[in-house]
Amino acid sequence: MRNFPLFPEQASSFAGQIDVLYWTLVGLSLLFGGMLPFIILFLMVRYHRSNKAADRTNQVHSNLLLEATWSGIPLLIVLGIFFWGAFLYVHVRTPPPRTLEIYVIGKQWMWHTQHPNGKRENNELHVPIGRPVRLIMTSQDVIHSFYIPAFRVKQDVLPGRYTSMWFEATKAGEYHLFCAEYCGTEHSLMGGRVVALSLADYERWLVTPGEVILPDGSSGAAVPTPPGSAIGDPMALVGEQLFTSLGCSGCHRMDGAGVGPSLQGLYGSQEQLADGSTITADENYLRTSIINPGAQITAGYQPVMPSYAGQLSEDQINQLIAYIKSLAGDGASSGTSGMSGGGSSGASATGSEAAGAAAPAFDQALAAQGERIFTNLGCVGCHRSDGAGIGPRLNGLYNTEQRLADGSSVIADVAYLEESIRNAAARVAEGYQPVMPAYGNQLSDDQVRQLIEYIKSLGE
Amino acid sequence: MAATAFPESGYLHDDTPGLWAWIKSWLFTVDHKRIAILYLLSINFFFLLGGLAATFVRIELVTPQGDLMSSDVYNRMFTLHGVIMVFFFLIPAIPSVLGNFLVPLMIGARDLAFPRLNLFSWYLYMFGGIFALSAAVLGGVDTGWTFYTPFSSTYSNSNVILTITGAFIMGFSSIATAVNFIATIHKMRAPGLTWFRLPLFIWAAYATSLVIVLATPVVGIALLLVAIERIWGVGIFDPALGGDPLLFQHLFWFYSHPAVYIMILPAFGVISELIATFSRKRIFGYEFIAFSSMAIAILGFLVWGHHMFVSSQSMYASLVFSFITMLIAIPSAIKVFNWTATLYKGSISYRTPMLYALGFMGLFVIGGLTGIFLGVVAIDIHVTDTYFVVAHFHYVMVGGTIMAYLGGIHFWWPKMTGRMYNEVWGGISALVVFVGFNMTFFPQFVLGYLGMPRRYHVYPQEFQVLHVLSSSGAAVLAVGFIIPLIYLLLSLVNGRVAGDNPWDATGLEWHTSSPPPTHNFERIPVVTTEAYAYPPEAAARDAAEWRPGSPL
Repeated sequence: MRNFPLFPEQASSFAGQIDVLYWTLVGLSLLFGGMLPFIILFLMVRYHRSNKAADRTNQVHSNLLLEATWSGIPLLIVLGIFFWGAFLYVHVRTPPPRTLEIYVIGKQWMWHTQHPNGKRENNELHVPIGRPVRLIMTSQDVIHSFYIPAFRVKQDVLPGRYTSMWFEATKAGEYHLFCAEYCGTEHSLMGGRVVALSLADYERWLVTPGEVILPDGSSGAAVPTPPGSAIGDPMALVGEQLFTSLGCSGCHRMDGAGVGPSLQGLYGSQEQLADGSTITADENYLRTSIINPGAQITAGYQPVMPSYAGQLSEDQINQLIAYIKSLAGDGASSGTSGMSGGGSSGASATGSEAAGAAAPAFDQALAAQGERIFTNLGCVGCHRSDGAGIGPRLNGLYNTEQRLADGSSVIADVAYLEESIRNAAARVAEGYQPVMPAYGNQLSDDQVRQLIEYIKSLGE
Repeated sequence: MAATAFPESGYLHDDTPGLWAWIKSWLFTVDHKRIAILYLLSINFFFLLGGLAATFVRIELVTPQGDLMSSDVYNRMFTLHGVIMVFFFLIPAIPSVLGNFLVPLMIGARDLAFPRLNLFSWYLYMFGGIFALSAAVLGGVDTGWTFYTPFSSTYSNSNVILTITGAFIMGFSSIATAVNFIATIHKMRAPGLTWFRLPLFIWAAYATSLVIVLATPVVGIALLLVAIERIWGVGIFDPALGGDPLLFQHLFWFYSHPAVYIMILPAFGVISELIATFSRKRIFGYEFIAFSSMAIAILGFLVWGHHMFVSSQSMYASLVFSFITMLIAIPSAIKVFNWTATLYKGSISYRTPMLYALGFMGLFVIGGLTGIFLGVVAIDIHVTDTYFVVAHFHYVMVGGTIMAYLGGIHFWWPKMTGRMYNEVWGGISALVVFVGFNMTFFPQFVLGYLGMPRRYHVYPQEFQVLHVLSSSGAAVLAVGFIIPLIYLLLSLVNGRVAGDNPWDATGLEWHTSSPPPTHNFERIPVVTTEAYAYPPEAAARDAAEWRPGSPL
């Protein structure tokens, strides 16, 4: 009967519990739904018009006691079933504190998964048995639903937010993976397999190389080469690079002195918001704060962060969030600081437009070093080249006349630029807030020079 | 009973000569009975069309590969099936056909309160139907009947706008009929016909009308918003435009769950009439059946969230919706128990309508009990969006609504047409439908618990045996639906003349001629008894009068 199953395999810690409830319901249904037809059949035959012997006198047309009985008993039974099901549901929806977190992206019509070490897969999910696994899922387009029948788990995957579910596989093997929410033409092909492995096999599998399709449609290596020779969590490391190259680190300084709140220990904590409410800083909160920062402002901060909507792929948001979660503070991963260098590949969405036609004379080598500092310090996060940042646009600034907040004006020469870096609040440009941190003596004279050369290099 | 002459004064009779006059006398009629016939023809046309789409779906699913049609065609096919069956058959079927015909007759009125509005509702229905059909003809629509966003509002490349316009217009047809029923039942009952003397069909029609009036505007709004987002790109549901995809599901199910009760409540009403008549005694627990309809109508508004247990709805919301869903089982159970108790000490005859009613009880019990499975969130997580759900709602909608619709059509056929159909073929059809139905849909419960997702064009090999079983059952079911079509049509030509009251029933509609005259009653009846005023000895007398050779 291998090819004609009548009952699904039980391969997760939930499966047995849900099946017991299911069979109980089947049993109760047989008791009611199975007996009732026989009662009806009996009455049909007993009181058929051809049966003249049946007693038809003293008919009853209403009986309160009877009504109360056949309302009351089913009510008690369904309430019992409700509470049983409710406790089981709460259990199924409450992940244990430490889980293996795997990120899932759905799109028409395939699944992308990424494991913490950066290993990626398409239409497959490898999980270790005996370990609680939590999937953090989002969709790039329409609503999908991640369904593993053998585990008895299913969760819709929505665009624009995270949904999550957890399970613990109990039996090694291969199981169906389906998309259960209708999502268009190839809906029925949007699936594959879930492979449950022993922990040792899973860890071996995590480093098997290969090529996969990335969520943006390009293809790439299934196992990333970790930047530098870092050990640990490449999703978080890639996230950290993004955090630096996008300039987030300029405001979200880990010492708490930045324009934005420190993200150290943020994930999972209770955040006090500016409107007085509190919120748990979960994945959805972090996501909203990146995409629509004005929506939930932390108490004590200004709504000055620019929106990153449309500038980051789902993949990049996942990585940023993996990084922010790594700062949540169990020693090891929180040690990495936002200022760690090396991220020279500033090829991000906000990448600088290099020297324009009318740029003044500048030292090319110094400007290149300056650009690196500009990116690593996070200046680029506020001083956006499109003018939409919290800080003024710097292109074409050098040696032009600038109006200041106090109504006076100034020529943006080397002295002004140096002062603005070391003590930004001294002379604030018109239309901007004095929110930039003072870099005082954090930068050497050489570094300031490099920065200024870079600013000079920014033509219109 | 032994009337042999076909009355010439019935509402079907025309004395105006000429084809155009005849057509006009139907298309511009304001007689509720003629409008019911218009509905009967058009609704059955849509039923056959929806059935045809289902046939193609079931044939495709015989093999695990997609060999009969491409996935795009398959998606259009099941959407066509769903849209037509839900919006153009199940929702209007019993209210618009049987309700239109019977509400004035049962309460002793000459017509509905607003006869022109009644005709207008039929035109709206046809107009909506033409939109939906043109969507199908112009390339179809592939969103499923649920139109989930942002797929329907942004991603689908099919005729979404035409289809939702059709459903939108059809909604107004429902509302017009419902308003008409509410006004009629309140204001036009015959003298002496108090609320607790009303037939239970009227109670059911009343409860249904309240649900229609309160819920239908919400789906209208939801569909309108989808159109606005689709045409002008206003961000309402698509997160890429700043919208919320779950908002649509809330709005949609706020209507579409009560819509299930719009389909099943009138069916309950029909069954109550059939069971009482063919047991030859008063219905058991009249008040409990009447109030359970109202309880279902009210609770039905508070359970829409049980369609969204895995949608990322909050856990607490899910628990509340699960709890209220459990409560709905009780009024449904009360009805079934009261019908069963009605059989006790009755004199039961196995006439075709009664066979359909008994079939209804068997199927509805299964549909209702599996509804409890789905109301338990922990189980629903596994089986939602699988064939388990498909099987469950077909047991309720086909096993419930269609069985009651067919039972009702047979029961009131002599009243509507003045002719009797062939009783032997009637019994055969009821049996074939019952067997075919269970063959089609019972395997789908097993498939669903195995994890077979719904709306799948291709599927894993191991599900094939059950799919083949289901498809062969569908063939039997199709035959079961075709048989009545044939003998009912034939009865118009050579059916025995029925007489005013062929079933010896007590309702007011049986007090007038078959078919009734245009204004229903020669004189408005004065009511002194309740609708099920069978004398205590009626059952015993019926059994005593039975002779071998009389109908079983």
